[in-house]
Amino acid sequence: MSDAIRLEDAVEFAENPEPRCPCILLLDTSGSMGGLPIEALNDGLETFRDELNQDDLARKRVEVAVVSFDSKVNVVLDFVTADRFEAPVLSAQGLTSMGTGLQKALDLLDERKRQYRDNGITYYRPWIFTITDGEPQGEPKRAIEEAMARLRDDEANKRVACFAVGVENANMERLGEIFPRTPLKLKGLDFRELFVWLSASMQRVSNSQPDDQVPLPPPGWGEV
Amino acid sequence: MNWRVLGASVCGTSHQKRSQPCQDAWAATIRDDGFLLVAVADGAGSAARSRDGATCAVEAAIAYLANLTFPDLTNQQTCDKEEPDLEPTWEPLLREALTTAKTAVVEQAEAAGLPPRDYASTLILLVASPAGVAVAQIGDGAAVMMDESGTLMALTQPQQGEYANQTTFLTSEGAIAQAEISLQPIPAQGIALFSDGLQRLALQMPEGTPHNGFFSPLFQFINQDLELDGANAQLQDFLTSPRVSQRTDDDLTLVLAGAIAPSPRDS
Repeated sequence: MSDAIRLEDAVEFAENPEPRCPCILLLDTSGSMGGLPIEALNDGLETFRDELNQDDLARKRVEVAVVSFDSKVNVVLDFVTADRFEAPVLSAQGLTSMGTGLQKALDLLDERKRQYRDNGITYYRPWIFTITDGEPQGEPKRAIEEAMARLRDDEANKRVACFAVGVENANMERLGEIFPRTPLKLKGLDFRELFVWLSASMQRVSNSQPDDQVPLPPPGWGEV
Repeated sequence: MNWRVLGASVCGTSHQKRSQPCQDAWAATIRDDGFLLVAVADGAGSAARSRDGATCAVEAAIAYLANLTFPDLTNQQTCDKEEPDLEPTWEPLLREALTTAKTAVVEQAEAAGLPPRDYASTLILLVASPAGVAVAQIGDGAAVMMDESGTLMALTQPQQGEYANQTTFLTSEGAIAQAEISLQPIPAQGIALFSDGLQRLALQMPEGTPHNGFFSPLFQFINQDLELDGANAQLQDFLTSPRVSQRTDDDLTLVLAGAIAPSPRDS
């Protein structure tokens, strides 16, 4: 008999990149978000960072990007893994280029998926998480129409899961027309609870086993 | 000809966190005529009864294969042909074994008044004789073998969708037609079947090449003169060790088989 092999010591592992779970936060920074709402949103982003980093796998697998929309659309933060995510401090001004923002988010996702594929990285279905207190305003009408068509197509083909949350005086009816999934209304300015939920959901997705449906924690922060 | 077989399924840390049971199952049998049968199934995390589905699938498949008359797995038996004649005989046989397993799972679901998707699992089936190896696979996980010269080869590849958490299940539509069938008409010194939880540790992705540092010690281990209870415990300890659980939180199944006797082509 040969010398006993201790499996725990002897076996080495292949080095493969972690599968990634991309999530875009698409945030309304129009003038009406000024004051308390934007402050609560900024605090919520810090909560999101803290919560995600409590999960060893989520911090390596969840990738966050932040896109803001007001009169312009800004990629505030391109994709980084959660362990490198620094919560940005957003300020509010201008109008509500929601359609342009959605298209930018979809473009970013297409590009990210291409990078994953080129590098042999597996990934989960991407999320876009949209937060707004209004409706599209101050951009050409076709911007939102094109965004809606893309969104419908991408949702139908499971290329993305796009969620919308309305804050305060958001036009929920209009949001219901724009987003294939029923938008939720945030209770008050409870962004903290919302981001705790989002983090828990991303943890579930990033830790999920071969499923096609990941059961998500029920949102305590919203109402239909 | 005989085989030494070890196997373990352990619950992933993410399943422990959510108080989910281990949803993997495996079974292995050595037939009197020396054929080795192994089955591994990984129950879908989202399916309520997938542990039952996985168990039912491996048991039904092994029971079916246990009583079949197998065609020879070696090339040399095929007369008058330059090409091996394995595929036309083995392929329908393996698909029939998958169908039998699927039928058993669907019947169990119907008896419980539940949809078959509640019992969704992957399934890998392997038949090995001294002459070669035949594998059928639906879903992810993979089968790897080491030949007598020590060369590793992937017998199958994980079936994955676009997303990391997507795969095909035995109960999925068209799954049996899409099953990967693999035949190797050469003797195996070592065989490993594993569920997808070990994929990223065992295979170099995206090519799916078996990682030498992973398999060589395992095959060396299974090819020693082992006391089986102790060896099974060691395999279990390995799969639950922090080194492994830091890298994957999924349920893990690993079945190892080593050929004991010299292959008959030496005789």
